[in-house]
Amino acid sequence: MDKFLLVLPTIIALVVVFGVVEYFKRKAQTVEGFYVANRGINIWLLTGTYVASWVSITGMMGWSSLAFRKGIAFSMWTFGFWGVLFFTFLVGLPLRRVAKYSHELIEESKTKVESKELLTPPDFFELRFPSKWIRGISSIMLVGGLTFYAVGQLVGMSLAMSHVGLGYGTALIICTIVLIWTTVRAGTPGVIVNDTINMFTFVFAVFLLIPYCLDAVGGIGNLITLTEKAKPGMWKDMGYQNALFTIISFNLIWNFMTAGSPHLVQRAYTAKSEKVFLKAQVIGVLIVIAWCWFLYISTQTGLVLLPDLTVKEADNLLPLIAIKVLPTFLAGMVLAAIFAVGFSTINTQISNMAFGAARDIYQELIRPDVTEQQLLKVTKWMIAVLSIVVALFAWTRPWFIAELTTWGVAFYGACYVPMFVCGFFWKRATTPGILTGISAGSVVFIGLGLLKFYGLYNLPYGIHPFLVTLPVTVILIVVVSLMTEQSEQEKRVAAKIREVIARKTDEPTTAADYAVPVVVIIVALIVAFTLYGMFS
Amino acid sequence: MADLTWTIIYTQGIPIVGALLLIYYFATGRG
Repeated sequence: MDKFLLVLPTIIALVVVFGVVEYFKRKAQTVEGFYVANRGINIWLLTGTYVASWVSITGMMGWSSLAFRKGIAFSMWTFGFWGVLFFTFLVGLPLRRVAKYSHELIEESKTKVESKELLTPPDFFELRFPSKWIRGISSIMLVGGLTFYAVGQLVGMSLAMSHVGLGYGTALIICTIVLIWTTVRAGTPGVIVNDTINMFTFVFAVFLLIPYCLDAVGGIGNLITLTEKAKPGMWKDMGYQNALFTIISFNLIWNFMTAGSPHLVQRAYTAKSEKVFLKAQVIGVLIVIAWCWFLYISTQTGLVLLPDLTVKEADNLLPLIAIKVLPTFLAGMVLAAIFAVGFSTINTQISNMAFGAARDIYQELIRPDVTEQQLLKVTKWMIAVLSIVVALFAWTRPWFIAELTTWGVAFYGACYVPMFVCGFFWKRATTPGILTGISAGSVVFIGLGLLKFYGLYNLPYGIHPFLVTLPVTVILIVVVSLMTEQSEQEKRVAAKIREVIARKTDEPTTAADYAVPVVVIIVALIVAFTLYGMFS
Repeated sequence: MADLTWTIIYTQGIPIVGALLLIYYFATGRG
């Protein structure tokens, strides 16, 4: 009976996921529908999908474990929070505006389907830097980098399901089937609605968890007194035994990753309007930050409740705490929330990997004359094939998964972010400049990663390869751009993009629009004072 | 005792900065 109660919430979550895709499949019958939900997503769904995609298994289980080992402050400083603002105002908004006016910008297109619209991040790159190589390299980066991240999600989801008595392999197979079926069936519309429902599941689960956890250790004051003695600094701004350099490096990596990750970038195309996009981002970041605080405070009770938990097992902290302090059904809700978090990230990643493979590689580089129905079919096949590839990687349970995840995503921070920022804001950036920058950046990044993996060479002072790759990419883009000339077409497009981005919006602001920022400021202050009260 | 003042200021400052930017973008017709 107990086991049934534990597994019931996950079963309910699965039924909901399948129900949603059956209902929304009718909205995914065209390329515009399947890829970008007909660019009509409202503020609630957009907030839901962004929150659910920012917070992954890494944020929920990995960062709980980091807080447990290194202090809450370490997790809060290293989560990619300000990257959201960077993305919103310097990547997402300009990209939306370019997408909106892309019919003025695209001069010629050889493809038959949706030739005048932007659907994926490489669509923008090739528009601004006209070269098949740019599209090719950025698409391979997109598919390759997201594969590593997705493997991490699948491993985490399968581990969470193994707490309800399933074997790892069985759980992995179930998750893969659910992933393929639901993503193929309803594309982006299904993914977005499921993300929103999942967001409510995992936000609710955490707000449920915190009173039980604090009750079990006799309140926050008691928890701090008990643990601060054994691990001094655990409850201070620098955390427990952390070097400032490590905190700064992780802060940069994860924020740049948030700013340039293709699965987050591509979502910007789906918003109904610029206003909806901007508001959803600011509401979303408020939710994520409050959620992180309450989750990591809850899991810190593991320091008292699970004294024998080893560092190696610390990734399992959240499910163990939930099972220990919550009534069975509610503990099952936390397990369902872990599933929800993993699922809502991996479905977005797999669909974007498939869009990259089908649209950017197959349609644009191999078969430009493909019809709409053929493109949809290839996209769906790609979802299945890439899910299976990710599952095969996950099957081997790579021990270096955490490292691979960071490695996969840091790629975007080092290459995608400079490409976007130069593409939007620097008219003089040339195609050879970008090509040299991202090629050399990729080679340096992969080379350093491989040298580290095989134990041949480590950068001094534990420097992450990202911190070397980003400056290399940026310097090469600038130097080579200044040394080379733009073609006439590139000059025209670059000037036009600057002009489009600087345009005023054609949606007049109303007094009601200011409600969102005002409420966000008030809630952020309330959370700040609540936290300050808890910790003083 | 705990002292997470700067961590709180940093994290809660982010949505507040976001909201202020939003007001600026709305007020200047940029968003």
